[in-house]
Amino acid sequence: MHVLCVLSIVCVYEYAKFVSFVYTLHSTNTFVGGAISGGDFHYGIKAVSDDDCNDNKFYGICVEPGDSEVAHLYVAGATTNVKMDNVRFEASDRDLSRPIIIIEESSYGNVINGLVGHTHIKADFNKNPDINVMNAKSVGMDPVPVNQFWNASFKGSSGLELDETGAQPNRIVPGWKLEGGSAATPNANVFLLEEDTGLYPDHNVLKVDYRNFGGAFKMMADQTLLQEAHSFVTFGVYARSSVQGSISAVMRYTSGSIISSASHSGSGDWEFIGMSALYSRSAPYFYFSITGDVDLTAPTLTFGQTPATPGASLMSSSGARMSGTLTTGVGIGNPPPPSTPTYKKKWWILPTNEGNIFLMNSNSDHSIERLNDRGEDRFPRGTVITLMFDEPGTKVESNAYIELTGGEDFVSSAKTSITLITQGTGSWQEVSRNEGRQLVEPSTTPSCIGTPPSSGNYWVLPKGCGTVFLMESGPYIARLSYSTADRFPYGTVVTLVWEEAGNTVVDSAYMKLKNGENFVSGEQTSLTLMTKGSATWYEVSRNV
Amino acid sequence: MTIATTSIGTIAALVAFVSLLVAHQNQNKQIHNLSRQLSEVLELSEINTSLVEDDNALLSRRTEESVSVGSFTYASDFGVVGDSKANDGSALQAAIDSAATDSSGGTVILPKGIFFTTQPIVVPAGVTLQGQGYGSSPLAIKFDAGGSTIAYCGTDYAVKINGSSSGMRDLAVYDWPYNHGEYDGGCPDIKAAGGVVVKGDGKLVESVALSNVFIYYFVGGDALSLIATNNGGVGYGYYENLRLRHAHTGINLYAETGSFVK
Repeated sequence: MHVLCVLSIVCVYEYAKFVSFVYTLHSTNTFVGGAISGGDFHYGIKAVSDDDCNDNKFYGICVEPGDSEVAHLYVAGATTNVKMDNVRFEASDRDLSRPIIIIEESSYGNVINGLVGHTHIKADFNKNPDINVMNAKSVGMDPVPVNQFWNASFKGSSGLELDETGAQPNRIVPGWKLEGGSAATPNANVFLLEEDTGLYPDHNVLKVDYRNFGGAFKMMADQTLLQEAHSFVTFGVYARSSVQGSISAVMRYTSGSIISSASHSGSGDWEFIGMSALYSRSAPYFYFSITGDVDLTAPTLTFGQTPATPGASLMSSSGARMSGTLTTGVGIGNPPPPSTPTYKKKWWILPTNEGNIFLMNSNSDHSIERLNDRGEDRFPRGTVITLMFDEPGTKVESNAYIELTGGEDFVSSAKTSITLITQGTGSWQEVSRNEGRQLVEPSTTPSCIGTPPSSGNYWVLPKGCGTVFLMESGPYIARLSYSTADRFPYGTVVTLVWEEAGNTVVDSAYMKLKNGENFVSGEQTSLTLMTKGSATWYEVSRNV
Repeated sequence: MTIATTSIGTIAALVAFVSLLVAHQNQNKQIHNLSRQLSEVLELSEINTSLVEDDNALLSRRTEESVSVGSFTYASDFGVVGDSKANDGSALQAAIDSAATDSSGGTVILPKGIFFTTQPIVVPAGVTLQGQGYGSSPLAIKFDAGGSTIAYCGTDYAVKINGSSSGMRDLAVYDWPYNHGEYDGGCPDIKAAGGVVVKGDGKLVESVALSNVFIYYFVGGDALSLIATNNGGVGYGYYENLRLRHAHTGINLYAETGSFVK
């Protein structure tokens, strides 16, 4: 190193030859290393300003209170931001629903990289594209190809049959709200195209029969969508129509105006009708506007500019970790249709793509001898299904196709169920059954009474009525259930309860009482004993 | 220690080297030794002397001068006790003010101890408060693990840095939560507004440096604040290895309209 350094920058250059890092060059407030921990925090780091409070730099700082009232990092203000490199934020006690870092909408240009643990970041990532953190305890901060439309496969629909007026007054498509026209004269009917394979496996095709009673028929999610950090939304649906302009995607723009996508060309082919745009975060509103006959499948909506992947993503076959509630689908188990030949009347076929729980549409007229036994109907190996019965009398017969525990048939009562597992063949094995609880009514004949012997001091307790005995007055107790036939099993603990004073249990080789002390009852006293299956009892405790 | 004839070139080299090493936390011991060596070299140079002197002689002369040697000011010379019982605020402030009278600023050396104070410690431009570390354990609640601790009992900030090129090194600042002598029953209920505040109030406060500072238990306020008001600014500061435990806010950055923190 040169011995003469006039400008510090030169010194830094020279010094850098000796060390691998140099922190001395800083143009703004610079925080290097250090840690924030402990309790009572409302904020770990707070930058909320009315004027320039930006470009303050943090290198390698660690912020890890177990929790904080507001956030570990809170930034707000139009000219306020932070620049953080290789930082670590953790909050081991924080509720998962609460962000550990909050960047208010007023702030932009924040830079954060490093590790964020336990919960998540609330920020507009379009305004803060350089927030890029690892998250070892969650699934990542990037927009995921998860579809925000629930039931994008149009499963579980009901009430789609037409009444005498040609309407569907009871129609339900779970996850979807269908609007347009009046209840009596909706301006469209919807059906499922059962034979249509559509574009994606396991996705039904919803056929919309537009009735043109005035106005557009609107399809939208029936629940509030998750609010995400992104200000962009991408959504749309695959539509097939021969009517030009039959469908378009519509949403409320960030300004509050309603905007619309390009509509279907009427080509008769599948087209993706949708758009990507800034949406109104204060009043999000997305729907499909339909003014002509159209077939629909695989609607998707995701926040950000990443199109959602239709259908469910596959999990790793080597295992996957999930967070959140796992909800299994519910299907309807219908008996074989009336036209089924007699010998197949007990061979039921359940839908294979609606879930694992089946509400059985059956009663005492029905029996079940086989379930999805044909190759094309089978469930994958390892599938566990539960058949739920509302009506009594349905018999699930034990046989080679349905192997029930002990070969015992299951006969339903109201609100009972049986759970089965398949090996991927046409046969099932019982996992468990719920046959309903036996209601126990209070007995009018008290039986757990310790009655005195007709003579002598050898008492015998009644068996089969429990382990707590109300003791009547009588001679002292020298032995208890002494004879072999009267003995209780090994480990039985009995409690003798007296309402009256004066009965004595005498310590002996058969009644081994604590410290060799006899027990003399008082009013509302008790003695608890244990047996090893012999004639000998051992004191557990006494309440005198 | 023996010191031979010095030269301007040697002094300049040492100045540069020390200024660089300050940035590196693992070099503190070297920095301290070199700084001490440098100050002595400077002083000897100023009096245009080429002499050989041992430690005892130098210490003897320091005692005679009583207040400062080179750029070091020893707080113990101003009567701080550091037994956690005496109220050391005014003595410590006097040491700092003394160092500040030197137009080139200075370093105030705080010995080991717990320096109880009911008045905020104000660090003006050019002055650095140098402690002896914050002990062997940051979790030692009463700081019986050693080091230099400013233990504050009051409602203001414990330490107020309001001038440029000032700072603190190797010490702890503690919002004292225990009973204390005449303040029995008081301190536990008194919460400070904050631990250390760097405030540019109507002026620019720049190039403040805090290094190896432990700020503890300011649960009623900010452990460290950088605040700019009245068209002031707080900028170009350097904050290294700050350990902040238990506070309402760990680090608070705030600039009111017309001011800046950056």
